[in-house]
Amino acid sequence: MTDAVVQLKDVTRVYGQGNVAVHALQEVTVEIYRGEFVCVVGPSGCGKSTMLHLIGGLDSPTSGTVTLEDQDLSTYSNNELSDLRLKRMGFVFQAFNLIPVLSASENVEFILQLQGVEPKDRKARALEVLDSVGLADAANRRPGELSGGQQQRVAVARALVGSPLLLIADEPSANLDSTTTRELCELLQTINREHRTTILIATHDSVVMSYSTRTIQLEDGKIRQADAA
Amino acid sequence: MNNFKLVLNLSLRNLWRQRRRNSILLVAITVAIGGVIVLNSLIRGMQVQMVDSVVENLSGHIKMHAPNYRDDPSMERGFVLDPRGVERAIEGLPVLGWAARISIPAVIMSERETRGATLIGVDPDQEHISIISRFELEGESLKSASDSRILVGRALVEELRTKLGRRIVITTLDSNGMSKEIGFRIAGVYDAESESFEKSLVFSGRNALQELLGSSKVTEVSIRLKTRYAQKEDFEQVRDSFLELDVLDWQQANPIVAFMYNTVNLVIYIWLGIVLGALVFGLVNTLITAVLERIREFGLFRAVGMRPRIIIAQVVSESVCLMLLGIVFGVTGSLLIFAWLHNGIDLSAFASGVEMMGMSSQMKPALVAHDVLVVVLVSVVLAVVASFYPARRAVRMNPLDALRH
Repeated sequence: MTDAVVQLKDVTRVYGQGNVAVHALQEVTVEIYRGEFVCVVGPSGCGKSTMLHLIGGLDSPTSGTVTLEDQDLSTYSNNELSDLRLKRMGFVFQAFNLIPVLSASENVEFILQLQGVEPKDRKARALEVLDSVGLADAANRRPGELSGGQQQRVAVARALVGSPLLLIADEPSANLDSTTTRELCELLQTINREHRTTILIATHDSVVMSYSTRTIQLEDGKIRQADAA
Repeated sequence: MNNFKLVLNLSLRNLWRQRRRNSILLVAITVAIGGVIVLNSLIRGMQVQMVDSVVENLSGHIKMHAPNYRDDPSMERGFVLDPRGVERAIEGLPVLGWAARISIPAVIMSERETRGATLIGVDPDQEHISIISRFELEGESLKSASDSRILVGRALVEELRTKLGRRIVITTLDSNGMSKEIGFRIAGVYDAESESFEKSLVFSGRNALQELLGSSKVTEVSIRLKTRYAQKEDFEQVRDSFLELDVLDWQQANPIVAFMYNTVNLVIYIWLGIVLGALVFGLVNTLITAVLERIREFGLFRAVGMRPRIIIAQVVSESVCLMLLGIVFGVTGSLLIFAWLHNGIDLSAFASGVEMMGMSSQMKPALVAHDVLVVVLVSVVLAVVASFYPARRAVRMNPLDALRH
């Protein structure tokens, strides 16, 4: 057993076949340890999102292995992967992806509902997490009534409410201004420090990178440079 | 339970989110379900009237003849009535009454015209089970089974160019197959709902007719039950008591009406299939649109770990919720229309057509609980079936593609 939360070993991901084959990742080997705040950086199309999707079990490698806490994700069934994402991971997306018909607190509570948490506990927990991201006052507002920054905070709260081992964020600041980006990064840093939640962010935003403890730089699907853990 | 509440909550809110589009579909469902129930109740009313009319117009629920009588109706093919035997046969059955009759073909002559008809000998005391006791009459009714006068239908009186109180001569065959001419005085002219009934049937006292024809036989016994339809075991009890006679239920005695009755059953289900089938296309179309609009939402659900079966349940529950609402409105609407039409629809403008079907010119709807239940259950099943294709599209989508949509 290693201390690595995530391990990628010789991971290659190819989309398409023959002349139109795109090598999104090529023989990538990397480890991410518990409590790290890691940024995967690089230009558009370098394979950042592909790497995050493979780690999140949303995609599977063409070759190589992806392990989470020493468990090879290729051995999981679709339902087991769903459970893994639900209970061990939190996701934050570039486009927030909140459910428009639910209020901010319901969007957060929804994950706990899927986890089978009792109604009384999940309401309290959702409000607690919303409070921790500074949105206790906006709990009853629908996504359409919130600013972009507030929506991304709700998305972060939703990702954190199930106390995940790993928080995966794909370009979380792409739709935010610099002030809001800083606020979001400070929030993620606090979570990382206080809860030792491992955070993995794909970004090309230098502000976000400045908050990370380590960066992995990708270029054309290969690791160009990775800081020491 | 948690997931059920989540699914229901999301479904109801999504339905509300697209309330204009869903309202249009809801109106379509309401009209379809309400329309099917109302039309079914009208068709059932027609069917019930057909059966009631046949049962009341001398057929009864169970009828007995001598063997071969129906091939060649005549006094020769009569049988000696055993009233005690009839009483024993119907013991314990929900019987309204029974009547023994003579029913034979005859030629009727007035001073001016000659017509063919059926001469029926009846005992007025037994005829509370048939339409004879409810004739609208000009003149007098038959006093007893020994009354040797005759009742003639208004249409036949007009064709014979005779009138109340006049004498007519009837030629028929006696129990030995010999031609016999008998004179009758017209005691009453009756009006029936059907003109063909008025033209084809004349009535006299049964005992008087037996005396005139020199026979103690009758040609039929008709049994009327208190229920609308005879149970199989009731019929079998009577049939097993008269093994020497042809014992027929109303369908066997009236095969054409029975065919129409059974065709109506088929028509009801074909109509149900067509209307609800058309509705399914509307439902599938709306659900596919709803799924395509929410591709990213479903992608998110998959990404955060929602099991596919919960996503399927959500799409299915949206369809079922919409259908249930439509059912509530449709059934309520149809009940209101039913209450409004309770006294019937006047079809007198099409009198000759409806008479051919043995119906009254007043068409009364009949609401059958079983029909409503079938409409409701089939609608719910179709709502589930219709939602499966859109639901499969929602879960088969790659979550990454869906999130990028």
